[in-house]
Amino acid sequence: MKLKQLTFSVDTAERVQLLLRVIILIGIAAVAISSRLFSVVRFESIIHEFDPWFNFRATKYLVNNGFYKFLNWFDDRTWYPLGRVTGGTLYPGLMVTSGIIHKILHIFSLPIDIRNICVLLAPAFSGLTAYATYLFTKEMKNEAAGLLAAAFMGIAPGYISRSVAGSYDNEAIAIFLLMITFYLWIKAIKLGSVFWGATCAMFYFYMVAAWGGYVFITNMIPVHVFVLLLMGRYNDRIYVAYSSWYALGTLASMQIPFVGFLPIRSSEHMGALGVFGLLQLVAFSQFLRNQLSPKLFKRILISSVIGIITLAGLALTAMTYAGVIAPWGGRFYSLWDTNYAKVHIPIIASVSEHQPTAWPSFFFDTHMLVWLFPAGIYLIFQELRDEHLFVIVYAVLGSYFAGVMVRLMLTLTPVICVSAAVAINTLFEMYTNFTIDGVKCTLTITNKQNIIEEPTQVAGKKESETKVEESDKEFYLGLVGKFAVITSFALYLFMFVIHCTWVTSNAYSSPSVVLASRNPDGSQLLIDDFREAYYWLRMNTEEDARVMSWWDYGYQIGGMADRTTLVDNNTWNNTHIATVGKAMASSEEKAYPILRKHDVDYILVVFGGHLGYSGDDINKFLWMVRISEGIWPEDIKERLFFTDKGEYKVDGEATQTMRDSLLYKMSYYNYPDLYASINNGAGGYDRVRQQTIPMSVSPKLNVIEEAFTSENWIVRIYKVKDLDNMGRDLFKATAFDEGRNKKKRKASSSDKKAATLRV
Amino acid sequence: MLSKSVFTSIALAVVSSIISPVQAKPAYGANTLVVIDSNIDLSEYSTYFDDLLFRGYELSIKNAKDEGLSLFSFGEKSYDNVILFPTQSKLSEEFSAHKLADFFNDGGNILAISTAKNPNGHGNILGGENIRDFASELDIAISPRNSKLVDHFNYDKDLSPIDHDTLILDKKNFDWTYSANIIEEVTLPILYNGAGAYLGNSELLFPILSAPSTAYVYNPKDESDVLESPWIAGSQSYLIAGSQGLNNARFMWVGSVDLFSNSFVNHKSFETGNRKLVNDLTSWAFQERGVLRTVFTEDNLANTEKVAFEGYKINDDLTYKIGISQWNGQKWVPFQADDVQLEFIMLDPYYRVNLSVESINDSFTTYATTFKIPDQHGVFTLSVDYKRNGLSYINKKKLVTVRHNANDEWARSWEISNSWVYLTSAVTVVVAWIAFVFFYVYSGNSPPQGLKIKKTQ
Amino acid sequence: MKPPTGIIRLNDKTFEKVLGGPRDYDIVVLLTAEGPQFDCPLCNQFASSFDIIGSSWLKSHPSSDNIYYAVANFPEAPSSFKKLQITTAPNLWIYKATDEKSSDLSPDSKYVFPQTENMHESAASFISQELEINLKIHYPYRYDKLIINLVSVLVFTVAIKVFFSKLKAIAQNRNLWAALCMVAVLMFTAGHMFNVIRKTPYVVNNGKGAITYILGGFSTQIAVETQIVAIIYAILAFSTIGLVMKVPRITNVTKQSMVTFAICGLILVVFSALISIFRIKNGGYPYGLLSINPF
Repeated sequence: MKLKQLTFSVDTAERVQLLLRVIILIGIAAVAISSRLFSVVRFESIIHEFDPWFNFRATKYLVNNGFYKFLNWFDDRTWYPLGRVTGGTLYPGLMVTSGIIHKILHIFSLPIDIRNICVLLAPAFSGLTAYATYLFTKEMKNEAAGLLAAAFMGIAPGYISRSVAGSYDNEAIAIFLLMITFYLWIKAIKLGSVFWGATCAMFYFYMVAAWGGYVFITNMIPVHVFVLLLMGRYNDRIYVAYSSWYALGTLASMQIPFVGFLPIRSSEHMGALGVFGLLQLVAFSQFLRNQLSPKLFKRILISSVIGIITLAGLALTAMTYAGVIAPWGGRFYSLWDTNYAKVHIPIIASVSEHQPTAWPSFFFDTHMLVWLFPAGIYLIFQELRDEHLFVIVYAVLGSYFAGVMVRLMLTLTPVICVSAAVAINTLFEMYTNFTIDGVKCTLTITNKQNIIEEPTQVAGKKESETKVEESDKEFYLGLVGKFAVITSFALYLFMFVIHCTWVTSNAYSSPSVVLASRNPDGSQLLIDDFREAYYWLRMNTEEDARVMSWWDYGYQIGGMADRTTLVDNNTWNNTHIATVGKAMASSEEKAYPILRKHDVDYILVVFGGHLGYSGDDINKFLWMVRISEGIWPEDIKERLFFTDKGEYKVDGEATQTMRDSLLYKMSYYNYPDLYASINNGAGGYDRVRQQTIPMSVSPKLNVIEEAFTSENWIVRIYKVKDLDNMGRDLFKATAFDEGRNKKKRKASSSDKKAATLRV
Repeated sequence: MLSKSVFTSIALAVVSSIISPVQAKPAYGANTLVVIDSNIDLSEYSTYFDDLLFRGYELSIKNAKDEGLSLFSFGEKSYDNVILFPTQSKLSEEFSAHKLADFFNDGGNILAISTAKNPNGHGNILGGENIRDFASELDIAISPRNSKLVDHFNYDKDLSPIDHDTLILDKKNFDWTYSANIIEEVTLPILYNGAGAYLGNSELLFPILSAPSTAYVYNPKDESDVLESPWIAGSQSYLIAGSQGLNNARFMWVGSVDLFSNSFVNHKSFETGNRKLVNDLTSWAFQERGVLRTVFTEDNLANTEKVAFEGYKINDDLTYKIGISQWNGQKWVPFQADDVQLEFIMLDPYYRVNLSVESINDSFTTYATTFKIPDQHGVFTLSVDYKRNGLSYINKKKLVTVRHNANDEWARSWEISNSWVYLTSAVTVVVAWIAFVFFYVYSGNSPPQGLKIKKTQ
Repeated sequence: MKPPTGIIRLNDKTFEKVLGGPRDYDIVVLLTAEGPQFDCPLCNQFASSFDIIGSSWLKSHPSSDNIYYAVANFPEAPSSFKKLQITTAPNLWIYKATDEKSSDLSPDSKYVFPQTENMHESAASFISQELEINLKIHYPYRYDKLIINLVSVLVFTVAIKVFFSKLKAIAQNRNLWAALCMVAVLMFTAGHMFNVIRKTPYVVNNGKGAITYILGGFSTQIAVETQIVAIIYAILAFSTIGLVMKVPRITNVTKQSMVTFAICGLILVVFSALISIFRIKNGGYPYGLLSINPF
């Protein structure tokens, strides 16, 4: 009886709920942001990894030179001597976002350094992502599920992995844009409004400007519409939403220089165009159906469908064949034919992010959500409104893509969070209902939602609604059972939070520019070789010096050392990368002309053998060989780098080709000497390959000389020698400098046949 | 003692000397070290030193055995030029091949003289070993120290009636392809007595004088195998060779010390060209002749002043200018040639064009050319790489960035006639849409009659 | 029936006669060790490639044009192998036409076997290069495949026509689609694509004669792991679904409580097992529930 007195009026209850929701959302955003600050606390406010260094450099350029200069930026400090039309080959969304924030803060007289904006942009956007996820899930089920999904999204490691402070990458804002675009799409398709469709297109444009992964949206939405059409759920709302989104979104996306005419030429975008056309046809046939007799309509329909399919197929084939439509882009193609990349595009296959995902990654990144995910899908299937189909399509496609490429875990994580939130929410709605046993709570949130949105629901939804009511009628649960379920799931959720915290702090907060290790006594040891070496380059070399390295380090050299690089992580020119690979894989005689031709002053190699850092150049060497073999199969042969037994050896058994290669020499130059007094002169022990490089194969350098080696030998920099002033080849010059050729000279002066006479 | 006598003789020579064709002096530095030892009788070379002093050289004549004699002081080179006479005593570590290489690489010029004679009839020319080591790095292989050059056909009957080792050479023994810029024309016979050398294929080497085809080098102590295998024979044996490092430092090797001697200069029966030859060789070696320098280089957009210049873009016209002057012995004068070329390189040359003379003033010639930058963006190198035998190398490189067209530098759509059809269709759609809206809004509320009928059916 | 390959089989008797010279033809010899007694997967793999190469040449040059292809298998020519001191197989050697007799039978060039899958192309380009010929590979046309395809398409079409109404009912069955989607999602999230792309083995031997079901290492897996993990996910997911969909419908209070407890217990146990398995993969992972480790 008392309970009844406590019942609020509907209005008050709504207001309190709104207040609570706002507070909870703010709390979630705060958690999302603060859990991403581990890296700043652990290390410092520093830009992470590789690509973020380029984005940071580009942002600085934008802030210093203004938008128009940025748009037309020709970068002569990368890809020497080709240069890069940077303004036209990047997704400017991220830089422009930071630039605008920077500008606004300066208008308010808050002189915050652009670096700090860049470092903290990703955490800030993660709060927005949580909110977008809330909105999206709210459309799927209700506010409570939305809050749960937002909380999951805020702390799920799968998303944190790309959005910790300092991880200033396109994905940092792209996931927010992905979710908000999906939300707006759902809104548009529910309401059939041009306004929401146009808003969706606007955010789609922002997404296109920010991340190459926009293709995911470009294909998700058409697939959703296509499935709806197949299920015979066509209605005018779909027509309005899709047409307004497609027309506006495509036009807008073409304004990004890097995208240009791709939306009407490349095969990746053809699905969206095809569905657009199909939708027009379906709309027209609906119109005809109303005008014509059923029999005539059927005849027209069948003949025109066959005709159109044939025509479209022929046209598409012909245009692809004639080159009007670009064939599938390499990266995208590798998603379908998984062996394609391995055989044809080693550069894509070489990137660790493009490897397939083993199951532990899924569990690591989402913990219990990964098994709540199918449960959520099942529960969504029970209702199956139009928007639910979207989640289902997203779930299947997303998990396929995430399985093929590790980095697409990122696009899967939101749908996992949404589905899991639906599952947990449904579960808790049942089991946390502590009104007196057997009495139905009159104002469950589910019902209210249905009441409010009823006018907009599809006719086919009626069935599912009655089902919900049915289950409500039989709703009856024992207190003990409730208690058991709630306790156990609360425990799992608690574990989930702990898991996320641990993963974030241990796995995803390392800047990878600074490595963390432990001293024998357990204290933390920071290994700062990269910055040491880049700083050395910055302070000790000519300002226009050209530094050659494998492309992984291009962005960092450009960003931290501010020196010209030959290749970098923007792998737009395969031949140029192969050239660098060839120089690394060739002997000194063959490499030197390449180095001269490209005006290389310094070569930077990463060597982990001393410290046991496994991501070093020797481990990447086979990719260099493969990539250059693809261009020069005559000069570089992968087989020659393996021993007769087919092993990849760097020790005494290493093949002659291996030992002669420039990279091998640069990696192990003087390395055995370091161990001279440690293991009785047996040679240098490589902790990564776990092999010993004996003194006898200690490399000798002729055309380059050591310039710098960092504290832990991780980064080694070599200077390329100039042509000899006295006209000798550098091998002779080096021998002379070492005073070694005294004996040789005697031999040559007495035996003149050894020398070549002037001709 | 030694130096005193030298200077008296030199002073005498200066006073007595009235002949000197041109009073030339080196372009950069005249501070010259002469390394000798007791077996060198300076009065024998008075004519040569006399000419040097007259041309303004500051000579420091030092005994090889002098304590603390060094090419460098505190890491800087102490002399501009060095003349190494064939000393009998061993040269100190300060004159090792490595030190000579350092000196050369630091821009110092070296005149190295060898000999095949053992002046005292015994012992060896140990100082020559360092020269041999150094020269071999420049691809000049000097004959071993016991060997000598003989020619039984072209010998001087007065000076070597028995040994046949003093050769009479004339202008056909010179390799004029290389020496045209190094020495002036040789009209008189040259007397030569000394070593031979074979030369390698180094690109920086200028062979000047070779032996006649009947000459050969052999070891007098071991005459047995002369016929089968002389050390080197015929015109493959070179007697004088020069080399110029990439830094334009010069090295001159002369295989005969007697070439410089008064007795060869003043032959009793005929007039020799020796005096003129050694002066020419020295003046080339010490940067008096064949010296070029770049006064300036300049690149700019064609027909513009260099104001607010933001770099090139594709299809711009680029003007390149280079000013080159030559040292004539007293001052810098314009250098004139028609084969100076400019290359425009990105990995491979896109252009290789001849530079034409634009203007000449009192000290330099301005060469210039204008060309259209190709339709390719990137970092290009403007390179003038002028390497001619006997002249200083000119190697000027400059990187220029060629950018692509900016977004507002393309032709506007209406300027392209192909686009008119698209523009027309776009305008048509806009007009049609407005018209449609207008008619839709103002054409009344009742739908067309026909439609109504159908619906009721 | 196999098409004629035009490949000569050499044995000890013919070996020296063919390769010893002098000869007016070039010959490409594959020295191999085929047969189950030799542990040489490459030999078996390359044998078919060599057949294709031989038959391709025969097809484009029916009169052989003085280039022959030969195979010497170790069991048939053991003493020749011994004489040549061959310890590894396979070897692809080229003997060019010569006027001299060669006693040591050393070849003019040897082919280095690459580590690619497309071996016949690579070998063919090597032979073309060495002998300065244009060797184009003709793949034998598979008529049997064509017939199978045609028949299956026909059967499929007829089946659709006949069972159209039933198929339509199946296609519109929501539970079927739900099941399909869930199976797809479960397989993908359990790393199925990894197996497909990396061609992982189903199980591996742990070196002690037993079978390893769970391979240590965070970024590797074997095919059986996918199945184990997918089943675990499925159990957990369906338990949760059961709690939501089925339990509330049980009207008997005691029975309901029992079922609830049973499901909660099942989730606890299976989830604990999942975490234990995960800890095998990721050694440094500090958290666990009950320590249940079936493997």
